[in-house]
Amino acid sequence: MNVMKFFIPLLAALLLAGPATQAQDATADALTREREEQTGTAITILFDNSGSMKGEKLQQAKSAFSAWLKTVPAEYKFSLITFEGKGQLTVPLGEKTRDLIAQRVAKLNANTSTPICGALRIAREQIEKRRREVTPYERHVVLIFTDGQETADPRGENGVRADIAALRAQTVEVVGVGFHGQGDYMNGVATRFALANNEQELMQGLAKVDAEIGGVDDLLVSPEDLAALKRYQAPAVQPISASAAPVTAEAEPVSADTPSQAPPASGKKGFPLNWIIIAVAAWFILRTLSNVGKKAKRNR
Amino acid sequence: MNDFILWAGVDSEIVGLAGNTEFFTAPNNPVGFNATQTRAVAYYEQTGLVSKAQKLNFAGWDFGSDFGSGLKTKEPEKKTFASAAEVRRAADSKDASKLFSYTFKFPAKMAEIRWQDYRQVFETMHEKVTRYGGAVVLLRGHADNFFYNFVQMKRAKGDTTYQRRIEGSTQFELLPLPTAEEVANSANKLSYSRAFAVKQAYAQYLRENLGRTQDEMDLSRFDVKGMGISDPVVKSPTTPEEREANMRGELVIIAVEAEVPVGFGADDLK
Repeated sequence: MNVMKFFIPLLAALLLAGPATQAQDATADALTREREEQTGTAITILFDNSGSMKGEKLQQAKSAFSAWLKTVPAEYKFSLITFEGKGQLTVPLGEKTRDLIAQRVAKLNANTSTPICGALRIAREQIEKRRREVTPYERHVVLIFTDGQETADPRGENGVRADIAALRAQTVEVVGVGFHGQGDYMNGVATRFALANNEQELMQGLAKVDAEIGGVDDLLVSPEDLAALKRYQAPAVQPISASAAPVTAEAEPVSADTPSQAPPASGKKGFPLNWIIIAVAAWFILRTLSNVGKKAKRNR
Repeated sequence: MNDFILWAGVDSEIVGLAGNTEFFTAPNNPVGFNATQTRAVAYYEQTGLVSKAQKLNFAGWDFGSDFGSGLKTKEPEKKTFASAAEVRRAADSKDASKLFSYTFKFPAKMAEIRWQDYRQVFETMHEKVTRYGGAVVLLRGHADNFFYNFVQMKRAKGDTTYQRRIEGSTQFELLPLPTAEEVANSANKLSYSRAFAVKQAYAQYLRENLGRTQDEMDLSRFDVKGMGISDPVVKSPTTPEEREANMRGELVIIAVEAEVPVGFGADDLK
């Protein structure tokens, strides 16, 4: 009986506390989710399905890609750009797209040109849009799986290098992945370069880097490096939120009290007063000169 | 009419007359605020005192059960601002003035804070945002730029590797030098997380200290931004103290002066 005396209120308290705890957790969970959504990782994959990949090469590439994709966390956002036409956005950036991308890549045929620059342009535009409209704090990685050279852009390899450098300047990590020893012209230009047959290198391509170091002894800093750091003039860096701001500024709302501007005197629809003044003055000068000429003739 | 309503509110506070939340909020109470108002409006129109009477807006006050504590301002249930852009517009307006500011310190690589460690700051913050209905809370997170500078300096020298201590060990490992965009990406994320941590801690304060539910929290007035390494206190830090000064989250509460404080009382009207 005594047990029941304590057990029933305890059970009641637990039942009452249950929903309240759930509600509290819902708030915390919503905020945690918001924070994670704002700062996640988004990977844009450029997959070379050009004619040069035909046959065994494409099968090997698909197999290497599939094995690698399985090792990447599913909570990352993925996008797929393939090489049809001037480059095609096959799967837009979004959540839960990893399996869809695996399916699409498995079905790809090797029958296009190699528009790497066009594909990079699509990637850049998509990232800029996402930074403007969703969040500027995501880590963006562009992976270029290719075996060859740019064939659509007249700038060729130099165009690819320039476009990679432009992306990196926008705080986008670009990882070049070469097949069959190809694509090494990206080495040194991309953030990282790896060969598709080297799984360890591939994984390193996606390794995260810490922004800060912990204690002073976390990093080996030589006396020369320390002296150089003291002299180092850090260049001004723009916050990512500013670089992701819309290109066109929002128009200021016009108040009903704002007086309308008078049309400019020289405007197309305005009265061309200055031209009339010039014409009258010119006519007057010519007339005077003509009279002077006539007078001189008469005097002669 | 407005004056009458205003003084009715002040009277309630002065004489300690308890309000009844149910009276104001229950839509089907036959003698509640809603029904009484409908009858009053009909009466004014029928008698020709007004051609078209307008319904009064509900002030959203919770008079509470304790007379001694007087009028209490109820948390707004609707969001004060519809979007972050609206918050920024309000903060940038010419009438905006700073009400309160505070700088939170963070350990390296960390982006968590507990409201219990800053109880007074969160109490002040809550007092300001409650009193000023249109107050906006700007949160700006920052990351230290030492490692970014280190990487840039090493790259300028032509180095491609650096040595970093293996976690939990006294040994160092040789690692490829990261690129500027890798460190900057990480700094952007860290700085945003620091700013957001203040918002999260405030929500925890409301929930754990004031017993607020999700519906009773108005978090729309927060403008959270990660500044990355763009605005360090010390531009070229080399000592631990200088680096720590850069690891921070800044809180600034802005009020738009044209707004009337929500929690006005008898003293405000003298």
